[in-house]
Amino acid sequence: MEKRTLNRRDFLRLTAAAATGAVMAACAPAAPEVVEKVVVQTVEVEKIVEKEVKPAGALKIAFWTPASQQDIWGEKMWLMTDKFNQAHEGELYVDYVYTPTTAGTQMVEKLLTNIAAGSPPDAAYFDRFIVPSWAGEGSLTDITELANQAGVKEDDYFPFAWAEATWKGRLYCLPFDTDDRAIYYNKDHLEEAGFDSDEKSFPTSIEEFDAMAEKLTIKEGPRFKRMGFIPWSGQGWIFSYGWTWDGKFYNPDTLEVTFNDPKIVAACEWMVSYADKYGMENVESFAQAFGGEAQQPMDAGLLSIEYNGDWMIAHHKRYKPDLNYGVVPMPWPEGGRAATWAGGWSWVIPKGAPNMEAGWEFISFMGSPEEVHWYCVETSHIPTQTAYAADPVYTEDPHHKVFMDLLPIANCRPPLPVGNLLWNDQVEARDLMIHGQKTPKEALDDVTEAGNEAMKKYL
Amino acid sequence: MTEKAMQQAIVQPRRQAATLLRFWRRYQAVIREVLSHSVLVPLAIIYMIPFFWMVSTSLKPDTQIFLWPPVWIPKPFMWSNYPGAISFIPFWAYIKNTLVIAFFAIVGVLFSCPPVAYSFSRIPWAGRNTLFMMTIATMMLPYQVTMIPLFILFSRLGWVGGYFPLIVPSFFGGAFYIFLLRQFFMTIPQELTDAARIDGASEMRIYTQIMMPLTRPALATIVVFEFLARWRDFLGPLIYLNEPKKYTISLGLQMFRLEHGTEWALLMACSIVLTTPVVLLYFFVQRTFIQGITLTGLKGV
Amino acid sequence: MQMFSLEALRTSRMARRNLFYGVLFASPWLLGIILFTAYPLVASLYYSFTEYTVVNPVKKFVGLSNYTNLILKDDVFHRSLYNSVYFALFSIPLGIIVGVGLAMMLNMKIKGQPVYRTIYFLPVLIPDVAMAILWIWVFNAQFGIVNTLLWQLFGINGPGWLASPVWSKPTVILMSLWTVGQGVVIYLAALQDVPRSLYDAAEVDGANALQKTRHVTLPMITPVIFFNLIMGMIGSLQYFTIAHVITGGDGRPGQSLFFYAMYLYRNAFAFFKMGMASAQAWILFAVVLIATMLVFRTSARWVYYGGEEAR
Repeated sequence: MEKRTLNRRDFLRLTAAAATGAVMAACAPAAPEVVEKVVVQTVEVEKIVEKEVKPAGALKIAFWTPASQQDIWGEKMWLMTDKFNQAHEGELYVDYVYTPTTAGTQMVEKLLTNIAAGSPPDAAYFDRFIVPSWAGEGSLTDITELANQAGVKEDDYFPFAWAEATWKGRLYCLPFDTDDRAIYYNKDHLEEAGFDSDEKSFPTSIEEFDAMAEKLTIKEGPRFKRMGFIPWSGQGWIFSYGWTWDGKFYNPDTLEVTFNDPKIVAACEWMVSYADKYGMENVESFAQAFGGEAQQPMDAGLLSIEYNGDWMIAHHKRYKPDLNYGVVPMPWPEGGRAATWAGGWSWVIPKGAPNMEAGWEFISFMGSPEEVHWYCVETSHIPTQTAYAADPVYTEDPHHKVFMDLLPIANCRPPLPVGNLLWNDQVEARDLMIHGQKTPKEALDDVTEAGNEAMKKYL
Repeated sequence: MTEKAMQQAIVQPRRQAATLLRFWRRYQAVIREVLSHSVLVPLAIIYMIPFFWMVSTSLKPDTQIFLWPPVWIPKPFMWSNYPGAISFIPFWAYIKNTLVIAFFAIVGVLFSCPPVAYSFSRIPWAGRNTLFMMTIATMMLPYQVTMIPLFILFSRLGWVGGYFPLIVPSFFGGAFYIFLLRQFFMTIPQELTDAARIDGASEMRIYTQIMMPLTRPALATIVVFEFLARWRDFLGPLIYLNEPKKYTISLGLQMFRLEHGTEWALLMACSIVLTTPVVLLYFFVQRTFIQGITLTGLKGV
Repeated sequence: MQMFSLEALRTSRMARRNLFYGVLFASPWLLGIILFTAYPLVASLYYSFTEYTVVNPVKKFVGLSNYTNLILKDDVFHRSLYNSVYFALFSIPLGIIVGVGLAMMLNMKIKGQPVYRTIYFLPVLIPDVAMAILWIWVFNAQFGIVNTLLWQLFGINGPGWLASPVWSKPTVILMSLWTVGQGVVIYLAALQDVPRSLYDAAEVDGANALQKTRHVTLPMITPVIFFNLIMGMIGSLQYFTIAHVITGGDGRPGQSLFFYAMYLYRNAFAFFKMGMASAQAWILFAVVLIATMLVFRTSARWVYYGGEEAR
């Protein structure tokens, strides 16, 4: 009994303390700046949970996407879907189903499970670089004939996009949007260190670049106050530097995996030299910061130069609008070249979809050049169709212009059925290399061997 | 000496001894309080530090989340993040869905698990131990490989898309709870049940009138655990639900992850709001964990 | 003679009665196993002998090659197994010691007991998606709270924690202690069942607090310690979610956090190698089963059931 009263008393005390705290905080002198939370959201949350508004007689098809309507890409996609539904009122109705993933874009448990059980959706939003992997396993519908009838041609698209969309000469997806990568650098930092911060003066040789990065690095005791450049932060994968060193990751004719190309090994050795120079652990925490999304070090002023994607332009605008930065292609060694690689999304019809024709109707609309262009302008993405990519709206922003200029020569990750395996292996290989657990040659040899072994059954 | 004085001479030291004993007892109690608080308070602070960080982040404007040195006290306090978080996703709808699932699941396990535990602990029957071992063995296979055949099974039943795959199995027991309850049942003295049996009570009566009341803390525990499991379950709702309006809160939280980046402040705010119902549930449930349940009718154990 | 047969009759009737009631009370679970557990279990065993890609329903039979490839040729398999065993070996005893200790302290009649109990339980309520990012921030070697405090309060230059291949597993083990509140709940429930009369008897015998703990409290809660030990073994060898989210699925740095279940998950859902993943699952099953049987065998010696019924 006594115990009970004590419990209640404590609870009351706690509540009182909390209430007092809240009152005090509310009465605190108002901060001079009024900060508005920037939340981009025009799709009413209620719309997601309201009862189905399927018009009578319409065939309902399911469309799965990892883009939630709360985020700008999902919002625009939803508006496009709505537009389609209105245009097809009475015949077709597309159900926009948001399907989250556990980690990244490659883990598609729901899609896989449903294909296995024979209940896939009729259309899905799909990461383009794994299309060959899924196509090789027969889990995507071959849309070559449908595309031919609709007049979709290889020439409509950038080479890298078409390469990823096909496997053994057959088309399995409609490329949608894309992205590519380059070097972001902090102009203020460069000027502080005595460099000319203009884009035209930025070094194009890797040796000058290394020297600049070293000068920009500030160490305070055992801690880094600021790092000049970390090769493996942002989008600094083995792919990124392999192409800059002019290496070849696979042979398009024989489909042989060649990750251990000497030029790629050289690129990795350069990358590892940074680990040796600065000591891994302190450096790793920069790259690892903030939930694996390693863009933030530049916002926090901790990193001067970073290799990252075009979407960072929007990110900096939101999180650090006063960041004074420039964008240039990645510098290269002798025998190398200005290079970048592109990823992006696509539209697919899973194998065994109940309404294939209707599904095609939908994705050919969503993947049509006009819609893609509209979407890309709204979301600050980049289209895969060359026709619209030349539109000046994409080059208005001088930073963005650099990304657009790199597109024609952009590479794509090896469009092989082992593509996903290769991606994961190179992530691990990079990790092992920079921690000194394997030499670049060893790690790349292992990836090559595993890749070719796994390719055997597809050849 | 007077008689009174003699009496005084005897009583006085006794009274002094009694007082001394009282002081000693209270001294012990005070020491106990001081010692435990001196351990519990710093430990509690350590436990709460990540929580403080969550709260701090939830109140920050975007531009202060990734600052170095890290900012603990946001300037200004973005209280708007809380209503913002709740309106960012279909919060109430998803909470309702999750509560519905949790409710039925809890009813299911309360209905199905205790009898099995009783069978494993208080009824000596052939094959019992084998079945018990099998029960534990079912937990040893990682779910990732049984997920797909199970899904196919539910798909053939036509249950995919609804809540049945998430609720119905609870009515058929759960290895974790069966094992836990069995351990609790085993601590109840055999004499009680033997005495009842001799008195002619049926198994049903022994079960409902003796065993269940005695294991209230254990039952409360599985209520909290099952609630928590349902609150956090992600993979189940992910693969079985095909309509966003039926989603649960764990799927809803993923909406804070954007194409490039995450709404950190809103996510933290939402996560904190979500802990409230479970905290309240636990706060009231743990009142049953009050020591001193005496087993009546048992002398000289 | 007559007496024997009567006795025999009575015991066999008892046995049949017990069998009837035993099965009756266990029937929900028996049904559950038949309905929901048997098929997936058998199916996954079958898959482990095939090359099953999930998307292609044709399953090519390959005999034991999944198993032999994993055990004999696969470095990553060995590393992932090592990581999980390492994690289990340290997190289980630590979890039990901290859990029991905390539960006993939270069981004492002190002021603010319910508040403390709730505080230690709070961490269990944090959603995984938030917890992962929380830990990355907290343990960040450059500007995380832990290293900041270590530097400011003790002048120690903290290690790389999650970023260091050497420190990452200890860090993850520490993280697992943060959610020890879940085990504490079970211990608290068990502590309520220790009869007061035992403590009174011990006091009469002149036992002090420490002796009471050793000779009354601990033995009486061994059934749930046993439970948490078994569940700890099963759970920690399957440790997956938080590490998966923190490392983005690849167990970096240097694969030091690439746990067994992560490799399994990858094979199953990213590489179309469900057959191999199933083999991994059954290998783990065998390992856990053996370990559990060993613990069961020793349990008679240290687990004390107040009900006096031996296991």
